[in-house]
Amino acid sequence: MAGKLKTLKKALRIYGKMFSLSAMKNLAYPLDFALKVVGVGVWVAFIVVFARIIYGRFDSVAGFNYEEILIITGSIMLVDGLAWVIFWGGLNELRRGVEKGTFDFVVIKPIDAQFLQTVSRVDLEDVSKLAVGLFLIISNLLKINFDFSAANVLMYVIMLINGLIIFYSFVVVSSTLCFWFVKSEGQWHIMNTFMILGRYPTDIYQGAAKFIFTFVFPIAFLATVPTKVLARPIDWILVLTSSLVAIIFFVLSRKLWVIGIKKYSSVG
Amino acid sequence: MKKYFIIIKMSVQGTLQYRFNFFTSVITQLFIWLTFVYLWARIYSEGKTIGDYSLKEMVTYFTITSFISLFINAGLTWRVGDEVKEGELTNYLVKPINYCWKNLSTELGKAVINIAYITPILLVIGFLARDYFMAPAGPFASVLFLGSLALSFLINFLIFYSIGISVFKLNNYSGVFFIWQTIVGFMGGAYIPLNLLPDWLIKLGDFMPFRFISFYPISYYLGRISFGDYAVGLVVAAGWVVVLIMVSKLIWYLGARKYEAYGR
Repeated sequence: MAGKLKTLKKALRIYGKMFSLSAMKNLAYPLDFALKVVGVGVWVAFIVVFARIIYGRFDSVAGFNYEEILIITGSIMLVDGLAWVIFWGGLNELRRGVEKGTFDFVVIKPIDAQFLQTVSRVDLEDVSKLAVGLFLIISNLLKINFDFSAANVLMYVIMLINGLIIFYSFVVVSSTLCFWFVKSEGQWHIMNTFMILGRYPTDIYQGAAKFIFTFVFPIAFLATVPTKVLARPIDWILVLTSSLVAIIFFVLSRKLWVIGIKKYSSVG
Repeated sequence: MKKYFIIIKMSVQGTLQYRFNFFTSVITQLFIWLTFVYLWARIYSEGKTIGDYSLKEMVTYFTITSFISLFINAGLTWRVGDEVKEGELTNYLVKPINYCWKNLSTELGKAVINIAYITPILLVIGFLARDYFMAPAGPFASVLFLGSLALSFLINFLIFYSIGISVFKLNNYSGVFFIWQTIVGFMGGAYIPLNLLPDWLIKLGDFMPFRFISFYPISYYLGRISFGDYAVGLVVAAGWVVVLIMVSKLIWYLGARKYEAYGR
């Protein structure tokens, strides 16, 4: 236990260093950083306008009222923002590192390569997604006709962490494709699509599509399930399923990484 | 011109060689398309409508924007931006080729192959989802629609080429790229028909060239714009092409004077 705690402390310290490095790198070019923040802001604004145009004119869609749909939108922004701040950028860089041979510098360090690659880039501009996401969630939660409790909030946070773990696992799986394919730029498309699809309540799907988006590509657990747990009485089957799916996909992604990294041969 | 045909040929070969990227784009776009079809179908099945669009019109609209996005997209910005930022541009400056034409040729080569791949997929989807898909509104609509896609391609190319070469003035262009990609996609009608937007956004869009990328061609395809209005639209779009050419030339002129390729 003490050993694990020490490893966790070390991991957090490394992430902290990476965070500071990224902050320094970003603030070295303040105009570029400001433009990136504005870019994220414009994107977020259009997503909210889109949601308003489509859902704002109806009482409910697929059993979700307008406020709940905006909580889904806010939740996906949280997952998206946290993904960029913690791991998405770093794992995106893996392909380039493998192509150019700079992944060597990661492999030779006395730290787990997956962890180091994961935290190697922190996209600070995406913090603005967290701010807008939180605003959407809180403002709409206060409007809905449901007396939520601390248990709802706690379960929501756990569901969101599960969603983040599921998304992380898929980013790892898609990133490891570069160990097999020389040009695997398409992996970014795959993961970005996950995020795009996560914006919509997955209850719109029926039949085979519902099964696929729940268990094969478990998009439902990114934002729809957390929203249900927060804005409705807690469904413990959903809580359990979400946790199981997160564990299964995390273990599988780790196994694939271990297999993939054995395929890596430096170009330099 | 011969050298640019060679670049088109090389681009075709390159796209054929690395099919993985293209097929992931197609598959992911199919997933997005499927989600929208489910969303629209669900909304309409609950007895609701989005503006004055029927379910068939909404599905057809989004099917065509998905089709367009597979060969008219913003990908070239990253390539151009990286070439300028990393000094690769020098390789082209010392050769007797025009950098803009070189990029246009590369994008044309990609578009040719992408269209060749997408068309059969689209035909199969169109057949399978025929109950949700509308045929062109009139006898000339399909021909004019395809013709106007050339203008869409050119407008899109000039916008994202200009953003790519704006790296001359910026150290990192991802912010600018992101802003424009979002604005062009949204105000071009890639996500939702423009006439569903709030009035102030529609009015703002009238002063921009983006609506000619997706919204105008598709509206004509759906029979929502008369031939006369469409012809006027094409003339305005052609005018925008001229303006965008001048803007890209200005950015190039200002940026090339600042360009330095260290260590090359």
